[in-house]
Amino acid sequence: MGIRCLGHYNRAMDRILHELNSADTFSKGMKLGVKAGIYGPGPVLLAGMIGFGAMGHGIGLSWLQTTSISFLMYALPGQIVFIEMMSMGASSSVITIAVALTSTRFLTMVLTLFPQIPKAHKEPSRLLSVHLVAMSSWAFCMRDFPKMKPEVRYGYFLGIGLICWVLAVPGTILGYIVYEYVPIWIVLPLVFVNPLFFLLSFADVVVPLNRIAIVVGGLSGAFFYSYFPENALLMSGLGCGTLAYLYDYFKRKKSST
Amino acid sequence: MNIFDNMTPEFQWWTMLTLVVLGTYFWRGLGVLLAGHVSQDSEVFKWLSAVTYALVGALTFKLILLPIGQLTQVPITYRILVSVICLVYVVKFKAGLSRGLILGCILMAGYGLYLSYG
Repeated sequence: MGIRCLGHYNRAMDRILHELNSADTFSKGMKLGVKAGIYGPGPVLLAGMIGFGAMGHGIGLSWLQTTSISFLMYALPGQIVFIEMMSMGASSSVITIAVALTSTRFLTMVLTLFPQIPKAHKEPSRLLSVHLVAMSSWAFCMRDFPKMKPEVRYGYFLGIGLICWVLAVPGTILGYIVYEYVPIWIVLPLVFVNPLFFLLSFADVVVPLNRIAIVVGGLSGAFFYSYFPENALLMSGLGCGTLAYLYDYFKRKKSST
Repeated sequence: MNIFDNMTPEFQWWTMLTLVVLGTYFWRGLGVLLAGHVSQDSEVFKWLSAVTYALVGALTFKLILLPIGQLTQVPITYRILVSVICLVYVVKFKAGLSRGLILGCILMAGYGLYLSYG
C-alpha cells in the first residue's frame, strides 16, 4: 500500500515536471504550482499545522487564537517560539525579538528566490505575495525554477504558496479539534511531528558554521531552559549563534593568512 | 511604565500577535525591497544565518527534552531514542524527510498504544 502510494506520488511529480517544460503562461504555471503543492510540500506542511493546532490546544489557547497565528504568521518555527515563550511568561520585547530572529531566514530565502522571477508589467504585488514564502514552497521553487521558462515562474510560486497557505488553516483547526477528542496514541505523534520535522530538516544543512550553530544552540538551549526559562531561546540564539559565527570567522581568517 | 499594564489579557495577547506578525513580515518585505541589490555572501548574512540556526536548534532540543502538555507522558529516554532512530534512518539510509516523519509518528503512536492498552 505504502509503496503503491509512493509510486503514484513519483509518477504525479514526474508528470508535473514534464508539463512545466512546455508551460508558457502565468496561469498554466499557477495551475501546475497548485498541483505540485498538493503532491509535494502540502502534506508535510499540513502535518506540521495539525501538530501546531494540537500544541495550541495543549497550551490553552482558543481555536481562533491558534488559527490566527497560522494564518497571519505562516512560519512554523516562529509560531512555536511565540506560543512556547508566551506560556513561559516571557516579556513582550523578548518574545518579539526571538520571533523576529527566528524569521531572519526569510530574508535569505526571498533574496535567492525573487531575483529569478522576471518583473512583468502587470503582476500581483510582490510585497503581498511574499507572505507565501515558506521553507517548503521555497525549496520546491528553487529546485524547479531552472526547469521552466522565466515567465512561468511567478505563477508557479503563487500556485504552490497559495495552496500551502490555504491548507495551513484547516490543518490547524483539525489539529485543535483532534487534540481533545482522540485517544493519546493519535495525539502523541501530532505533538511530536514539529520538533521531529525541525530535527530531520537539520540533516540537509551543509554549511559547517550552521551545523555548529545548531549543536551549540541546541545543547545550550536545554541548559538555559533549566535556569532562565523566559529568555533561554534568545540567549541560545543570539549568544551561541554569535559565538559560532565568531569561531567560524576567526577560523576562516586564520586559514586565509 | 509598560504599555501592556492597562490592557486586558485578551487585548494584550492580540497586541503581542500583531507585534510578532510584523516581526515575521519584516524580513519577507525587506527581502522584496533588497532583492537583486545585496550579496548573499556578506558577513551579516552569515551571522544572521548562524543566529537563526542556533535559535531553531535550541527550540528543537527544548521541545524534545523539556516538553509541556501530553508529550510529558512519554519518558525522555524514549523521546531521545525515537529522535535518534529517525535521524539515523534519514541520514544513513537516505530515506526522505517524509519517511522519517512517518517512522517517528508510528513509533510515538506505538508508545501511545502501550500507554492506553499496555
